[in-house]
Amino acid sequence: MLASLIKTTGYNPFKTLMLREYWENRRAIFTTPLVITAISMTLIIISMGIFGRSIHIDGESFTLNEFIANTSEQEAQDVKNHINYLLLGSSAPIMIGVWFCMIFTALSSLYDERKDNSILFWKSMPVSDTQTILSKLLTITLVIPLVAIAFAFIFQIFLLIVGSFATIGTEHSAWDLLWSSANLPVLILNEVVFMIMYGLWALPIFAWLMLVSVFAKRSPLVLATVPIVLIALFERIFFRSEYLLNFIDTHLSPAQMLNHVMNSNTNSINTLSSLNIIKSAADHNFWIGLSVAAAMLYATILIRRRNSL
Amino acid sequence: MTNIITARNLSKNYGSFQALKNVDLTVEKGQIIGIIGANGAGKTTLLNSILGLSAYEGELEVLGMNPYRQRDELMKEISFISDVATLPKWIKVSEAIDFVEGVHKNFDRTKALGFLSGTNVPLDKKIGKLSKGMIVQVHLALIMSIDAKILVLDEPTLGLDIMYRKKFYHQLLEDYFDDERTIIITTHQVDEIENILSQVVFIRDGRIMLKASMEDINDQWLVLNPTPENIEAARALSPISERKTLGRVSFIFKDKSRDDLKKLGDVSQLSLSDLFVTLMDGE
Repeated sequence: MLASLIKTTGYNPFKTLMLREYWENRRAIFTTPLVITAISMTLIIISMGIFGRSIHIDGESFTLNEFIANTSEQEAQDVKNHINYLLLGSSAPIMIGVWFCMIFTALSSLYDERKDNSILFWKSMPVSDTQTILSKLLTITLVIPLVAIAFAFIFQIFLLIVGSFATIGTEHSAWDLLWSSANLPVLILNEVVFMIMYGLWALPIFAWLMLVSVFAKRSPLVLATVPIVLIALFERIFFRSEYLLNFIDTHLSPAQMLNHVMNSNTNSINTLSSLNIIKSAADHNFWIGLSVAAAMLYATILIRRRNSL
Repeated sequence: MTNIITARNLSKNYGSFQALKNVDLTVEKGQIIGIIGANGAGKTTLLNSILGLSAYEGELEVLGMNPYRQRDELMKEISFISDVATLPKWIKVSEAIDFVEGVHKNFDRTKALGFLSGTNVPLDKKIGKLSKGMIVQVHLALIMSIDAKILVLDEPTLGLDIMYRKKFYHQLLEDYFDDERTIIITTHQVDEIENILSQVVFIRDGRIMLKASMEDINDQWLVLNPTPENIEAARALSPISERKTLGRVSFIFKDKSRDDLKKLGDVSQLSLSDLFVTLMDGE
């Protein structure tokens, strides 16, 4: 199935555009999460004690196996209760790495093609600017995070397997301590819902980066950030307000969204928590962000149509 | 004949610079048109307007469409190669073929592979790893495999050696061109395309100086190399211009009977590049 997904099958413009994005952004989509996952796995294996003792707590050093052997019944219960949070937290390095990929892919999405003149080749093809920009937006806000979640899943399975090995010879059973407490399908559900909703919450940010990318003559990163900083300073000094910074904070950080989950008083990660993430759409800020994003994307399309040279 | 391109009062300004000044142009189906002009004369601006790549003032209709608003529709029927290398460096040759096949209904993969099999281009390499000549070959193979009504070639053979250039123009005539298609071509190597053109457009400072069929040009413009005793007689016939090269004098005439001129010396066709220079000098 995967093979047919990443292969062209004759005339199919939108699929071809998405593939084109994959070819161009293989590093951001695939290589980055792969490398982070590989590095994380290596670090875990080292901590297993194959290469000696590597966990250091209060001046004492343990292997992972010794660490689990010394875990009391009470602590084991804690592990069981929080195993889903631990697994979720374990994917943080992948998600953070991929977040940078999303930002930088957006910044270069419509800039690189002008820099290397390839825009003239793309424009010689019968695809509209709207389709092109849509394919880029979907790649940034959907394809990149979904592939990252796949890698996070592999890493979580890996952690459970490694953890199981570490319980050998201890009084804790791998099934009881790890597998029966972890709920991988619900974790994936929550991660997917989270990433999709984050993509929508942060849409004005990505739309802004694409807008800058379509008109920047050079250095889109500088052009995307410096004016924001200046306007924010201006606002602070002359109006003593921070509307712009608040707007960016609301949409760039997932905190606003996660507040909706925290407020709903669920202590564990379950199907309900993914619904609570979706419920964050009831926030008026969500819709303000989407409207701002739509306006900026429309401008991006108009500029790409006009500014081909 | 059907007009496939109609431009009326077409203008384009870049700030205070007028790249096109009220251009009127019609192009009929089944022609091979050469657009000839110095750098900065407005050739590429004219082509870009026709291709829907830039906004313009005035009226322009290409295949019954407004190129700027309906570029994606129009590109189903037009293929073009522009004067700068435009294939992205990161794409593999095979991916470029996949891409065009995926977005273009009228693309023939077998044809493209056929064109490339006659070259040394490796399909699994990225464009960035190929030589300049190979990149042009890939691009030409791609666009010649698109069954389009209009083919626009802006300096298509830049960077190619002479063997491949000859082969390309031969292929263009033999394998590509027919009565249903129109080819618009610009190049600095005017002499190479002279004998395949059916029409020529001279452009200067954003204006069209001359649009004529090659037949008319060959009928109207002649070069006379008079024998030494006839030089004065030739001069008396009021030639358009006179030039001396290596001690020989030649005169360029317009609308004079070939038979009359033959009495004074050798008569030959005026090459397009000489015609271009003559017209530019005359201004």
